[in-house]
Amino acid sequence: MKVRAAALLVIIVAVATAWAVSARERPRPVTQPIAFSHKRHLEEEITCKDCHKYAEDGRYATLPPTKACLLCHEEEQGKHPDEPKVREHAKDGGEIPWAQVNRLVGHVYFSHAAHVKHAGMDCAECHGDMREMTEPVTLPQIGHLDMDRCMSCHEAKGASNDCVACHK
Amino acid sequence: MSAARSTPAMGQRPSRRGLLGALLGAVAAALVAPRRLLASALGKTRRPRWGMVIDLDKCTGCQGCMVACRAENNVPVNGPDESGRDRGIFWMDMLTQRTGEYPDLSIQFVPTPCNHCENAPCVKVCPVGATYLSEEGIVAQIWARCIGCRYCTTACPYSRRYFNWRAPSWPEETKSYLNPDVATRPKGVVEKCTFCHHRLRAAREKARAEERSLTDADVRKLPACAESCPAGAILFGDLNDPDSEVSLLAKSPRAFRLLEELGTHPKVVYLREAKWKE
Repeated sequence: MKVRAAALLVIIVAVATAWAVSARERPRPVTQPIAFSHKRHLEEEITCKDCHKYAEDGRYATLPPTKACLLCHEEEQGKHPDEPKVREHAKDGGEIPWAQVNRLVGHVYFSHAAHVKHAGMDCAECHGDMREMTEPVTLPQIGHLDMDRCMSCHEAKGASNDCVACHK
Repeated sequence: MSAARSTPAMGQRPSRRGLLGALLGAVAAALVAPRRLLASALGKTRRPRWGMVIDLDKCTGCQGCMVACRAENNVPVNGPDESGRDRGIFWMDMLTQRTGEYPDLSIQFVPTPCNHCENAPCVKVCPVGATYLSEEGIVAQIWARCIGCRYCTTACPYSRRYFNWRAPSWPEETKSYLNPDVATRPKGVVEKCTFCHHRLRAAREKARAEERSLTDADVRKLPACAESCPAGAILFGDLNDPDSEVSLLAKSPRAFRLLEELGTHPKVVYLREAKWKE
């Protein structure tokens, strides 16, 4: 009986540890300041690149400055309760404090230009289909991007899998 | 006897002499044809073998390369206490060789980055594959994979590897100037010169954006040490390209490599008019 209890305890501790370790790896959801709908904006035939300006030929895709939002939202657009918040944040040259969702670990180099422009990848391959995204983005859309995923795609497409091709 | 045997065969098969001639011809053609043409005919592209040439006759010992390297690669400044215990970190070091006594003293300054040996002892002993010879001949180290066993620091005959005995530290004023292109190393891992491979990657992406290939001019001053050298004593380039400046200099009669007799095949070539004695 004692042995069984001890074994059960060991199993519980092991599972808890595994869960705790994996929880550290899992990205935590962020809170966005405005209920931004990608779907609604993409319906207006705005492309990814219109807002994430350097997604094609830069290293970072970047977030749009609030003055880009004001190109349309200077005037009231629709009846969404969060819509006036754009102008509130933009007052006195302020910026909307978007929370960053996708983060790259410090020892990895990644260039959007290399993937989007040169390898011809679609944004959705890593970021998911934003045309269906009505809620603000709080988590990476296709889960955790691990090294296996990078390497299998590099192998399939004939890109270098040399460690220093990506590690810095 | 031989005539009787060869005569009837002449009509059907090429003679032995003919075969031999054809074979010799093919070998001669392969030797004469430029290697690059041959490689492209075989559908292979030539991989670069990055190397460095350091002209000791030009070096003034200003240590600009050491400072540039430290700034570029976020090399921690561990202060005089650690350095006093031989725990300082110098990806690019400056060794001196003294001859004579003051006032008849001469000092040879020897800038010493990692030699990026083709037959690297450090790579052989790493139990976790954290250090390896890259496709282009760089002895690279993946910090996140290093377990800090320090076999490599012991194996390196040039002592070009450094262990982080403590968490890295920088003077407060310079902390905001850390280079985002080079990851900082935590306590407990070994670090070393990388031939500034992050700069190589940037140069390659720039060339790609301009729809051209990387040239010798793009890379000859590419690493921070080479870029900073006011005497132009340090040059970088592809040792596999017979026309690159480093290849031409490596063939100079002044050229030698450190501890060549160990068979490590370093890719850092030194130039010195006077004979080098170690």
